[in-house]
Amino acid sequence: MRLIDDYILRKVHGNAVLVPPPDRDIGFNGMITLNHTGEFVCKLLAKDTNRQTLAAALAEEYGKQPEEVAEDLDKFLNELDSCNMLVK
Amino acid sequence: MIYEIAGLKIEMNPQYPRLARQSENYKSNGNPVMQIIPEQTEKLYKAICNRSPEDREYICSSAVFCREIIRHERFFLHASAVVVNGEAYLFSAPSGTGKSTHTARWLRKFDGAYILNDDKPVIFPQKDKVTVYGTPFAGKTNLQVNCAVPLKAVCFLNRGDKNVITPVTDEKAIALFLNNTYRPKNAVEMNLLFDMIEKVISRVKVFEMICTDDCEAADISYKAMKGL
Repeated sequence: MRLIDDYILRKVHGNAVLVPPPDRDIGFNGMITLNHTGEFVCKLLAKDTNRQTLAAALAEEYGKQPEEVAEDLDKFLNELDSCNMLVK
Repeated sequence: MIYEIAGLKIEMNPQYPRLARQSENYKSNGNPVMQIIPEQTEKLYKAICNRSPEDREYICSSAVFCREIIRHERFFLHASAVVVNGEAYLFSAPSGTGKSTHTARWLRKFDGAYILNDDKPVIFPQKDKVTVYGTPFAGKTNLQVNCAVPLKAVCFLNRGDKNVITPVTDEKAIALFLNNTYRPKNAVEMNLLFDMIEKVISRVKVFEMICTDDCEAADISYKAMKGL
């Protein structure tokens, strides 16, 4: 899985924001504000990856075990998916 | 015909009285940096085919203007802009919430206060200041003047049964600005818009207010936005 093509991920006054491609309608016209963890995951989702790789990277970043981050990761991925921001 | 709107030379050729009248005080000369042709908003132009030709010209010219100014590092906010003592206060909200009602209270409260623009003021964030411009495009009331005024504060209104004003987080301010302006259709302009929002929220206080339509609402918003 990866983020949809042509998304915008950037900082605005120190706040990370993710918006869908401006040039087409993907059924989501909002904006997602990201905390550090969300931004970290979105940067990894720039390239094709999978849940296991993401969980391992996230666990390493926060000094935890992959099982410990799995639930929050799934929740976040589901949110991105519900906004049509993921390509699976 | 050349007009100067929000500091930009613009070519526009009104065919009907409403746009011509609203633009009268913006007449200028020189080389235009953009041209406004109502039919440039093809989708909107077709969508409002039930409106009079006069309204169609006005609405579509406004839409073209709001879209094109992004690349000139300006953006409009769907707001009523009131000026008190040489400073502009912007009240933004969805149509029907009571922006104009609220700023009308300010007009009654302050001698010399005036409406800079009652629907689409333009925000121009510069290096060390943020300027608000009146534009000919002023919604139902047509209230507008051709002036440039420093921006003091912005407040996003919600109608309620009490009067409470609170500063908003950056996160919320970004979303509120984005929801109350033209959303660009390409990445370059979307990034330009974010750059502008960043400049505004770093220099100007942004509030959210639940308000009634009574006089107390204006007292409360003024004190908070003025920083008293």
